[in-house]
Amino acid sequence: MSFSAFAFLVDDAAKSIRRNGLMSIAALTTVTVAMAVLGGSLFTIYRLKQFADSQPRRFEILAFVDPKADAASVESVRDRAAHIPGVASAVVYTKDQALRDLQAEDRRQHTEIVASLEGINPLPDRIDVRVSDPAVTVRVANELRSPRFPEIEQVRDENDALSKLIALSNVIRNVGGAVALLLFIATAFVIQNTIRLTIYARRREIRVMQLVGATSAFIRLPFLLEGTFYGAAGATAAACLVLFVVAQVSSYAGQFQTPLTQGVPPAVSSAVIVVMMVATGSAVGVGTSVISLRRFLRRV
Amino acid sequence: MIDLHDVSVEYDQGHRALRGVTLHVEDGEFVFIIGATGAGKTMLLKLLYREETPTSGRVVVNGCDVAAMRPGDVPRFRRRMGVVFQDFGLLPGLTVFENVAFALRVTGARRRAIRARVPECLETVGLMARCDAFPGQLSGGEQQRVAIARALANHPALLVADEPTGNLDPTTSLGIAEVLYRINEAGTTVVVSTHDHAMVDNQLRRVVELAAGAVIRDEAQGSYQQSPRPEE
Repeated sequence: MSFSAFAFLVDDAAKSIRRNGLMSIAALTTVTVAMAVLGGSLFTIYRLKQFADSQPRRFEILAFVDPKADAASVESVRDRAAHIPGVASAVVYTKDQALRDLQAEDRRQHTEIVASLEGINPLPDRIDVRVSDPAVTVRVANELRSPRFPEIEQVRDENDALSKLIALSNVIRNVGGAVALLLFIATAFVIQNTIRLTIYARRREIRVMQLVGATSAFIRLPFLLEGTFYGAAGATAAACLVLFVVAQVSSYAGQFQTPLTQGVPPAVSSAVIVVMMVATGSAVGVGTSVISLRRFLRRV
Repeated sequence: MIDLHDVSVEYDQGHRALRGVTLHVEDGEFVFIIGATGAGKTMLLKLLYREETPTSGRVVVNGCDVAAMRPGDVPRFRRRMGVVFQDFGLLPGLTVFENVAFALRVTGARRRAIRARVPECLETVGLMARCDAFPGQLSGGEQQRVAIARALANHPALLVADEPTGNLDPTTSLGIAEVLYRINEAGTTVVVSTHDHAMVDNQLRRVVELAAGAVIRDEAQGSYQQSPRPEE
């Protein structure tokens, strides 16, 4: 195909988009909303998974010892915990160390929690137990909760938090997926209807094209370009929206840096998000256009 | 150029638009197809530009068997012919020049070729002076001339015109006929279906008459004599 023929087709598609007016805007809006929901959901799931994956590498189980227990008892608990099968290490995190860390946190956050305690340290000694395999976490945590460890007052299995994260991730995936699917169906209908109206508006032109010997591909290409434009432009707008929301949320969440959020790998670059969303949007646009052309162009 | 052998076209309901039509048209011939409304003239022309395919029989145009043709081959087949309709079929948003250029653009012609060819076609139909006008600013006769110019754009070996003067007054019709004869004299085979007595009678060209889908007359220099429709 010559350059001038291709330019003619692109010009044709652009004219059609302008001519469709409100339908074009409706198509663009629905693609934008659908892609924003899909992109936003996928990005949230991706970040939650990154967060969840980064947690087991730091610690798995926290065992809080009765505050009345003396140093020897704490050391005994640590020793017995270290010998539980599957435990890689057991380290005592003393109540004094915890208080010092809280003081440091006070200074950083400009709070006065330690000062308000008036010299009393209510914090318990803690034993951080790391397991060699995350799969044994529950068994080891249950062992620490058993009567064999009467000195231990509370066991916090970080798997609980991870399970909640995974559950949250699943909810976002399911709800986001369902909403995105519905919006995609709506998008497909709107694009399909827009293409159908275009075919109807241009039926005389299409007829002339057929009679003067335009190939089927030549007749169909402007419609494909139009559908691709709706998909790609809507997805670009959605990507901008998602990036804006991510930037706002990141900036807000950055004020609440906690040990839990340290070590979480950075998100993928903005360019990757834009490229992935635009590619998906374009694919939806092309796919819907192909279906529309199959359904409606034969009738002209 | 055209060979129809025992061609019939039947609709789903069993109605037959053409029955056993056999017709041979030589290269460079000018043929009028006449007959009452519903006689099968339009169906016959549709077979020539492969808008329809025969239910039985054989249609060969420009050396191509129309029924055996793959759909992908139809565009190239149509580029070797021009088609003109009663309703002109012009695109109202395009100028006269653009309407003619459209036929070349959609077949992938280059800009330079389009700029050279369109004036030639408009000169042939005598409308170069109005090349910037839109169809709505032209008379019916002028619009039909533009349609003919567009049909000529791809140097067709065959020009098929379905009632080209159906919407025009007698004087304008004669003008259109003149254009068609001129095109024929330049070597293009022309097949015209018409109801127009004057157009057929004045020129004494070959006349093929259809009635109820069958050829009932084929004369080398015929005149318009509408026959009664035979019983089906």
